[in-house]
Amino acid sequence: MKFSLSPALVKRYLQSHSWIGLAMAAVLYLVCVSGTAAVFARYLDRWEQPDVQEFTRIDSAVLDDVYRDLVEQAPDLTGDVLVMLPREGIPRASLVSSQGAWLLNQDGSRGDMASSPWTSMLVSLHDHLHLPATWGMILVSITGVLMTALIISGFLSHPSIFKDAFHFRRGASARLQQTDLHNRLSVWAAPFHLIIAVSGAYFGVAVFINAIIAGAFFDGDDDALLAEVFGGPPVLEQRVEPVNISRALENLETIAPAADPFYVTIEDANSPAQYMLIGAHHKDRLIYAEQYRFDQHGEYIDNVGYTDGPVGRQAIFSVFRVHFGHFGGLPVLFLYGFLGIALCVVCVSGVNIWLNKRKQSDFINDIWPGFVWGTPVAILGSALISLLSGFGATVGFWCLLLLSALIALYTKEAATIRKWLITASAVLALLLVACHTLIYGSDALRGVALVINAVLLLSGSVIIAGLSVRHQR
Amino acid sequence: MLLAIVPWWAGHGGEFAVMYALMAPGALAWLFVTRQGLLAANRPGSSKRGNHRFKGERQPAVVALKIDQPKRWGMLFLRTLIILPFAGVMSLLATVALTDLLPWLKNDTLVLALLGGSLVWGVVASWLLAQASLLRPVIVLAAVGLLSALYLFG
Repeated sequence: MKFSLSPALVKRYLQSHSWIGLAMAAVLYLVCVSGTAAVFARYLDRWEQPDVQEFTRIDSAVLDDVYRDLVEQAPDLTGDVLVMLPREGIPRASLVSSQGAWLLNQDGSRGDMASSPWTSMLVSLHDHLHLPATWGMILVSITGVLMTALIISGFLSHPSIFKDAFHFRRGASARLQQTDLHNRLSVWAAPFHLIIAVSGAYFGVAVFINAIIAGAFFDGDDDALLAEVFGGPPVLEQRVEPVNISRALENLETIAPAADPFYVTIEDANSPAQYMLIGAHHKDRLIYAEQYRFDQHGEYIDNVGYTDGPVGRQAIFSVFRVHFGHFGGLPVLFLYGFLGIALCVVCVSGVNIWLNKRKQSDFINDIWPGFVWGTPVAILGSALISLLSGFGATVGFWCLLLLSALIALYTKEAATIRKWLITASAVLALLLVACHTLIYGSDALRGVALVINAVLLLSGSVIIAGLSVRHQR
Repeated sequence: MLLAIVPWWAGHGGEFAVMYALMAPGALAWLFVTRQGLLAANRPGSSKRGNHRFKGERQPAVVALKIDQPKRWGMLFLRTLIILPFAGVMSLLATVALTDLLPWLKNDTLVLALLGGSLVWGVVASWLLAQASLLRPVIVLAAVGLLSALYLFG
């Protein structure tokens, strides 16, 4: 299939494609790697805190006690209170309020403080690159916009793209292999990558577009815009009493038998306007949740309309699950993992093509492999630092990444630094398993923790064995 | 692959079926790359090919850009830093204005603008960055943005 674009236009799109790719390669790579890991965040959370009671259901009467205890201990409680219920992939309950975040035992008593600094570090790297939240999110979202631009310009700069999508010349020169890998993965996975780019860009671009929409249609009132798009809050004025969560959950079973509740939020807790919002999954729907609203006595008010409201409202509340692959169970999660890795490969191979094609070699040739292969080292190393110290994941990540890049710059041997850093990643994976097992004992050898430790152990061992076989040859 | 949508739709509903259909080609790409990789690795003498060109080999899609002198990067960065926000403002204004013309519920048009805005921004940015001369495209885009702003705020 050939596009009928003039050669000059094709060349210009190619230049635009290359420039955008080069200008944002490092940021895009970090966002893609951390995003691929963030897809599994719910499991990494559990690995990071394995010594916690896990259960698949919690008695709703217990939840009333949980809230009552919280209000008794903090009578001046304000803001929202979130109770996460056990759900698919996360058989744990937790309580989050302005007073702190705790994991809950099945009897409703508070367990440990919820703490997963390394997973939080990975998620915040993906969300806002550890920059101040709003600016970081805008920067990451602009990365999504530029990713869209890359996909468009990639297609337009490649007249025989569908024909070349079936070519893979492994055994040819490094440049041709990289080109084929880049073209193959980017073309075939383009629909998925476009969805990820657009849904990812939405979170930060919304800041700008909300300003335009609010100014144009709502007299600058952001709350009115949010109420139109996401549904406005109910207006209540009551004498404050402890909320009756169990009654609300009982009522939900009657009102929406197909709903599978997984969180309860007490909005404006401890105030005359307080009400409960129960978020529930609906089978085969991409929406994050339908939200059912109840007054403080647990009497049903209404639902927000994510299942049966305007199409737009349903669509916008589907963005989160579409972006992070939280639908369709583990097969989809792993598919997102593989397609995320494809995006990382596309990003790295794009720069490699340019480096291989260049006539001269400079610091970029030296630093790039250090940055690329230093990222897994930084991720695994920061996990180890966090595991041993309980903090320092973010500082550890950036220090290790910087160190990897500096070593690469100093050694000036791309192949050697690549081998070193891959070996370091494998060794860190093995060390991580050893330390995790030493610290958590039998808790490290059951459930999700066991699976993740086994994957780390296997990956580390296979890489070291592979490198050692290659060395002997 | 298109036919697979039917059982997916029947089994998991339309929303999941569409998502599965969009993900499937990417998954197949990995299978294809792995298979080709294994075949090539088993081909005798494959590792000796080095940089020799294959018979009938096409030119690579991505050729070297004339941006290989980092000295030029400052100017290119500056150009991008100017173009990107400009493209953003104009395309977001145009997206909100155009979606408002659709005969849909207000909620639907707003959400289309919210979700489609970044897509339009990306398309416009790639178009602008591909222009040899910026004068005419910038004037056209500024006119579109101005008309949109007049429609929205006028």
